[in-house]
Amino acid sequence: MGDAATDEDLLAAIAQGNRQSLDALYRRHAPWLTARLAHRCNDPEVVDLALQDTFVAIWRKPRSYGGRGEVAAWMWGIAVRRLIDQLRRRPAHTPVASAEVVVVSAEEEVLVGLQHGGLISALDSLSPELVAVVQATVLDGLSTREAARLLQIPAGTVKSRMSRARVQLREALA
Amino acid sequence: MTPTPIPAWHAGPELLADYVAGTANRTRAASVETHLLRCAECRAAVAPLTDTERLEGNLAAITDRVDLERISPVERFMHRLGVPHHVARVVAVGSAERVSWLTGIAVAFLVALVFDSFDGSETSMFAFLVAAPILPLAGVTSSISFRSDPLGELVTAAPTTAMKVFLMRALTVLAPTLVVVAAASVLVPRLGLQPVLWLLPSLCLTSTALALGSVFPLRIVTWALGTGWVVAASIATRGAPRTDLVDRFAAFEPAGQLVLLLVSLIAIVVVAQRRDTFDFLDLGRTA
Repeated sequence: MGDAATDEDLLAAIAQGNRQSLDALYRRHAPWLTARLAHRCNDPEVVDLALQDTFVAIWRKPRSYGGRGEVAAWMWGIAVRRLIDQLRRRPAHTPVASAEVVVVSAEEEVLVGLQHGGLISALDSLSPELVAVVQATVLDGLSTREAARLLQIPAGTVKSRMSRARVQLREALA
Repeated sequence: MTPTPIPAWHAGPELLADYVAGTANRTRAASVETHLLRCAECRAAVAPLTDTERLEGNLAAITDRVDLERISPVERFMHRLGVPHHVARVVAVGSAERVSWLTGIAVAFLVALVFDSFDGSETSMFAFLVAAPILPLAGVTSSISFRSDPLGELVTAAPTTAMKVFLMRALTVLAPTLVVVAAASVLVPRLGLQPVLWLLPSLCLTSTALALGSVFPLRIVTWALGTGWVVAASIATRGAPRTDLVDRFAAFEPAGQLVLLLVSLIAIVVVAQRRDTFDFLDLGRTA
């Protein structure tokens, strides 16, 4: 399997028991998966375990990718749930580090703005707690319960924060 | 499959670096994450920004875990006993075949026991004692020739010599066999040492085959020895009463067993000395 193989090709080969394809898929996706997992959990050890679980899960059930949507999105769906499983096993885990606000160059601001328009400034107006809930439910596509486990807060809190975020975003975008 | 359209917008090296370092704020991070799901180009650009050593470490861990899932129950059991990975793999591959050899020997032995107690003869026991040494001979030489071995390629490429692999495998056959035979001797006292009598012929046939195999083709040597053994047994017992077969064949007498032991020891020394030639012949002639 060379560079020309699509992710779908690799998954098909993995379903045939081809180990090289698992390696190829790993080299392609492990870097960004690691980075994204690290944004959800600041313990590198937990992130590493979740990443390993992800690829073992893919090796076991490559056919659970139904052929719809991006393979990358499907992989993230697995990865974030494996992370939640890992976190559930260690109740004493330290919560996600709050992202530092850095000075954004004007150029980047424009580039990011092109992609998301007014939403970016609307999101910025939310408190970190609300952003975290939006991130978990909207961006990561997690259920309320899954988001609650990831953020280590009660499910009811996820719901109430989500509705508050919805109201604030609507006001900001209006 | 149609290629994924590449979005016009790209995260850019600085933003990606901020994202990986965790210094991009949440909303910019969210932009990057959404974009990465759809853009293989930017995903690839993340790779040089990540810790290679950590990535390789995780890949090694995944490989190990995937390997463990593929191994046989025998191998997993050996792991639990603390047998090193590579040894367990070499011993366990083909263990299914060896289990069937063992079962074959055990069943033949039981059949011999039952039949002989019906008519008081030694016919079945004698047949068993003659046939039993042939099985390990065939099993060992076939495992050495790598013809039927799924691990063949791996073994020839491994730093372990074929000899070492053979010895490890022979041990896994011998140990359970001895247990079965010892149990039989205890359970059926009238047999005495009879069930054990085939062990030395077996050792002698196999080691001689390997010693000669360092000069002649192993397959021919195996066939010659196996046939020779059966022919010798039938000549020795020609015309003997059915109740007195085992003692007629010199190989099952104390003196004969001693000779067999000596021949075995000489053969083992020869094999040990010529093992380099032996490894070479293996790959050259039987592949």
